[in-house]
Amino acid sequence: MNRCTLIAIPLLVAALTACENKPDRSVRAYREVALVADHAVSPSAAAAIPAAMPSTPAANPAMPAGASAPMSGGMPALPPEMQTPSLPLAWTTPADWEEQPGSGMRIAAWRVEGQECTLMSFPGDVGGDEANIRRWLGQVGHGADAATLSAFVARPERLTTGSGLEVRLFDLGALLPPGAAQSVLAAIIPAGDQSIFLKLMGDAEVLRRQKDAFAALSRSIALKPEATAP
Amino acid sequence: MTEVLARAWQSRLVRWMYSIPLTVVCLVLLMILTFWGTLYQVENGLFAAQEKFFSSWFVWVFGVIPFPGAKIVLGLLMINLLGYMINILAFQPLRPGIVMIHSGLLVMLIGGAITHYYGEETFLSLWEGETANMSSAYYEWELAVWTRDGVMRDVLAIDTRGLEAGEQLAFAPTPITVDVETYHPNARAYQTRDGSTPYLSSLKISRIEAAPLDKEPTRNIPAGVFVVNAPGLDEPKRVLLFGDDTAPLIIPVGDAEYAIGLRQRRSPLPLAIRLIDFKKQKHPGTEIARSFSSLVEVTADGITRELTISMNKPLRHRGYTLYQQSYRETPDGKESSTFAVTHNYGRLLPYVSTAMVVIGMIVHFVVMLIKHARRQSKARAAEAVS
Repeated sequence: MNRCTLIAIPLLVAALTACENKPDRSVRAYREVALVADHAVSPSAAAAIPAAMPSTPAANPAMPAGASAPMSGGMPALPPEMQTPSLPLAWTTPADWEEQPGSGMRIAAWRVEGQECTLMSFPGDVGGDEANIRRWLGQVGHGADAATLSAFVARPERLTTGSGLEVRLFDLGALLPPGAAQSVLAAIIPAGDQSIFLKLMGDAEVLRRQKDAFAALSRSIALKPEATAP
Repeated sequence: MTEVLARAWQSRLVRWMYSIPLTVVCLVLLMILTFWGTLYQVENGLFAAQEKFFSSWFVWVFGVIPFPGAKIVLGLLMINLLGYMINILAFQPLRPGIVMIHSGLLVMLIGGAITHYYGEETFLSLWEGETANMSSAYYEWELAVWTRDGVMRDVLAIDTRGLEAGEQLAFAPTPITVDVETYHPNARAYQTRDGSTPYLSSLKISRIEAAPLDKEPTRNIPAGVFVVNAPGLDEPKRVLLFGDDTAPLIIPVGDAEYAIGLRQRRSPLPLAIRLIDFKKQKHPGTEIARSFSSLVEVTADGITRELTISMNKPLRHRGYTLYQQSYRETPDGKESSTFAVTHNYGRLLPYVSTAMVVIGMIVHFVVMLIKHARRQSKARAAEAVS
């Protein structure tokens, strides 16, 4: 290899490395259709948001069965009426669980060993336990025949929260084939005309380890005073 | 002049550039990159592997030793193919099949380069009844400022890739400038129980902290603390913006109100699309979707029409393709549809390239067959004579 080649190669490497994309800080201007009316929060109005207002998760929101793409980002993606808070709730986060703000329909979310647990509430029973469990089974790629499902739904683990609410805890691992990679733990808590849903979905092994903590979290859920006041 | 060119063409370096050994070297390097990238992907994810091995000029081994990346190898391969073609066209008997096969491969490489440099893959999510004329990037973000003026709004946006503390961003022609106090490409956000926060934050986030970048880039949600300055402000405003904020922050400046948000990078579409109805069919007895489609109203070039986008029936318009990708639904029956939006000038080149290669192979086969038949016939004639 002659001297010219020895000089040329490092120069070529340096030149091509310099060709890597540099951040562009120029302003892009465009005209867009506002997807939904801005329900932006002015600095003064922000202070008026109740503490239990659903806020924001630190990861992309989970998608329903069949969905795979991220939802649109910082812009409001949910119609305003769907962002109204559900129930003002209080809870005690288990040790080693990382609490994250909620968003949209989520009242709160947690990360534990890389899996995500969500807390939501909806009016009514959202189609009933059987329909919900069938949907969650579908989310982990499984199903169950009607008789098995009915029998499973009829025998939840029944717990009571510190504030006296009844908890129906379902470990969907019982419906899954041995060795299933993904599973779901779900707690359904009826609260007046609403239902509270606590759901942990993900790695079956992690769910087995965290089941006690999940049960403790579900037992700690309580309505905040403003929700229980007449 | 022609003689000089011919001599240069036959020089050692140029001959090596269109030689078969260089082709072999390039193919071996590609094989190594593919193998290495596949192993790397297991631990670090597809996106990181693509960036490190296939979208780079060099792969840095131990951070200091350069190994040729796919860009440099494919570039060399393109030069090699082009040189080989020029050589056989200019200095060898014409072999149309071979020329066509090599042209097809060259078109394939050019198509790949066009897609890499100019292609765009974004998505668009609409709830039923909503209209949009922009799509969103999957993992690129922008800091956007706009005035609130009803249905249409004029947005000024700056990309946040590589944004660092200390940078100042000017949103000309508005009077707004933004100083970056902190910025994390992936962050966790925290609220206090009583909702107190030292920042202006639409969701009263009180603290953010950097999180390690997820190997799945769509899971990275950025956040930052920014100081907003404008001549009409009493004092600079310290705002905290989080990628998952559900609403922009409004800052009054004089008589105007500006919205500011950290959001996925928007790209304009040459059409406006309204989701009229989302339809889905489930597998019997399950909640698993069998097929889904979206009835949309599309306005483009002054014409409005209704059409259906389904899984195998995308909408194509001026180089943009909208595919039905996924959907969301709420327990109370509200549905949204998500479309994958691709914009790729080189979309047709792989088809052209494949056709050229196939035709080239047929031509080459026919030519060889004719030559063989002639040789056979000559041999038979010679045999008959003897």
